[in-house]
Amino acid sequence: MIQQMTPRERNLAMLVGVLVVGFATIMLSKTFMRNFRQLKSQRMEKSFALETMKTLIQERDLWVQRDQWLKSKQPKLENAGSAGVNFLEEIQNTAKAHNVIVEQPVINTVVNQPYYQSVSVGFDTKSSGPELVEFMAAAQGQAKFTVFKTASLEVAKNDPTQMAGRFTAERWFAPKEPR
Amino acid sequence: MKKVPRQSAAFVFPGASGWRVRLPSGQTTSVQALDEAVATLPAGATVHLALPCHAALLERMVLPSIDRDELSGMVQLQLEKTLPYPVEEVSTDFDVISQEENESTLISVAANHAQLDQLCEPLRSRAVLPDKVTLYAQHVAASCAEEETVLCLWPEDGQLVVAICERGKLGYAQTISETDPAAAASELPAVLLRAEMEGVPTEFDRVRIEQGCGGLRDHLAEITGKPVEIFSFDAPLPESATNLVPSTWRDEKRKLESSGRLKARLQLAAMGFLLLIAGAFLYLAWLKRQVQALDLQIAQTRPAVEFQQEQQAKWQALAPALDQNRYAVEILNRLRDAIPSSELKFTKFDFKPNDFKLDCVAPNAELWTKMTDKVRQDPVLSTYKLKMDPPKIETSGVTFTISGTL
Repeated sequence: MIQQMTPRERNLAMLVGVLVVGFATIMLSKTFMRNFRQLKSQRMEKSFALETMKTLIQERDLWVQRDQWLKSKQPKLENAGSAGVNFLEEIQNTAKAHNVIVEQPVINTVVNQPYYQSVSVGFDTKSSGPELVEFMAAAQGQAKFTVFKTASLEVAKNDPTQMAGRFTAERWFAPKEPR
Repeated sequence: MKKVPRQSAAFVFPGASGWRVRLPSGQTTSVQALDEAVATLPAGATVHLALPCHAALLERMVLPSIDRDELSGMVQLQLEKTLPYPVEEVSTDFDVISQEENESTLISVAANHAQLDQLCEPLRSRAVLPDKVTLYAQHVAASCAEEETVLCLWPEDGQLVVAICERGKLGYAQTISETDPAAAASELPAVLLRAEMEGVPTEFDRVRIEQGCGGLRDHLAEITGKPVEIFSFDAPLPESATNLVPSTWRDEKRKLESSGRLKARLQLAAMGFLLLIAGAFLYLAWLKRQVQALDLQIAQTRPAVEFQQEQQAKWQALAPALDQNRYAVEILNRLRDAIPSSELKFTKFDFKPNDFKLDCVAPNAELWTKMTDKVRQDPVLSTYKLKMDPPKIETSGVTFTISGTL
């Protein structure tokens, strides 16, 4: 067919062919580059994300151990009604052991949180500064799950040698529905 | 009989009727027309076309030279006078039959371009251009012994060719329209007489006829008194030295070859281009597969990450109960450790799990500076966002507040 064309027809056919191929090349190149950039970017992002995840889960064993420790150590709320009383009694015993006078105790209702059920008691104290500090140190501890929700200490108005404290202490029991 | 060199081109030559095609493999077929011959040719084969006698003009000359170049010029001049066409419209060549001291006897062969184009149209329309165009009679002559004068007869395209071969060269050729042996035999003496009048030797050493002219054998034996041999179209014949290919065909063939090369290059380029595109998109497919593999790994790793994140959130939420550095007594102790002097007194300490506030009184601002510096340097207290406003100066001393928020 090419041999039957006149030179002009051949040149025109060449020109059209070059234009078509050029256009097709440009479109294909654009498509390729667009997809290439997109995929390359995705690959980079996902590689980074995967690396981060792998770095994160390198400590998995530690967190499994912590979870098991929590499950074994965090106290279970057997009886919501008596838990407050028992907790207050424990506080009072600890205070007594450190010569801290506990006044105006209040037992609050159980509050459910995502990671714990809190049993809260409020009370005032009167004692010397060092004894108060000892009491606070004895009341809290990692295995006790006791938190001072609020603690306000000041010099007693009527006796500058004494410290007056107002506390809200909570015991954090295991949550109702374990997560 | 001369030894025939192995042919590498397809040889197309006139048969008793139509054409015969001898392929490079040696196989010979008969066709009626040249367009049928094209179908038998292998792709890309070179073609050597031998013309029938009636397609060429033969002229026997005796010229006063033995130099081929001089003879060429002389032949051209002679043909300009004798040819019925302009010299530019014919392809010519000549074959030297014999040479004396300063004289050459030769036969010129001329083929009209227009007739050649018309004859070979079936070949040219299929882009098959013969590389060589010769006269079949010259091949037959080349098969005769060089030291003999041989009378050859063979059928060509419904006619009978009578050729006188001298020294292995064609000396004279004439066609007889009668193929009937008796009628042809009756015309033969007149042909021989005409040849003798042109100076062609008619004393033959032998007679050769094609096997299709077997009916003439006895007549020829009677007329010439010489032994009659049979030869076959199927037997390969020696090459002829002449070549009547028009220069336009050579140009056309060059263009065909050039466009063939261009076509091959374009095909190669197109294949390369397609391979490149295929490779590029295969690479994209591979990248996509990698991304999908990463997605799978992420999906497989996600539960472990979510478990860990959940545990971290739980531990964070329980920090006031579990982290000693978040205990009220710990904060208080660290603040006490930051007291630079016993003259500085705490007046009030308020604590919540996420913040604390300490009111102090000191005799001078220097103690406030020292205390605030120590608080900032404490590793636990510095984790809080500390707020330490300038002290208030009062009559009893300076009072200030240190607060921290997580």
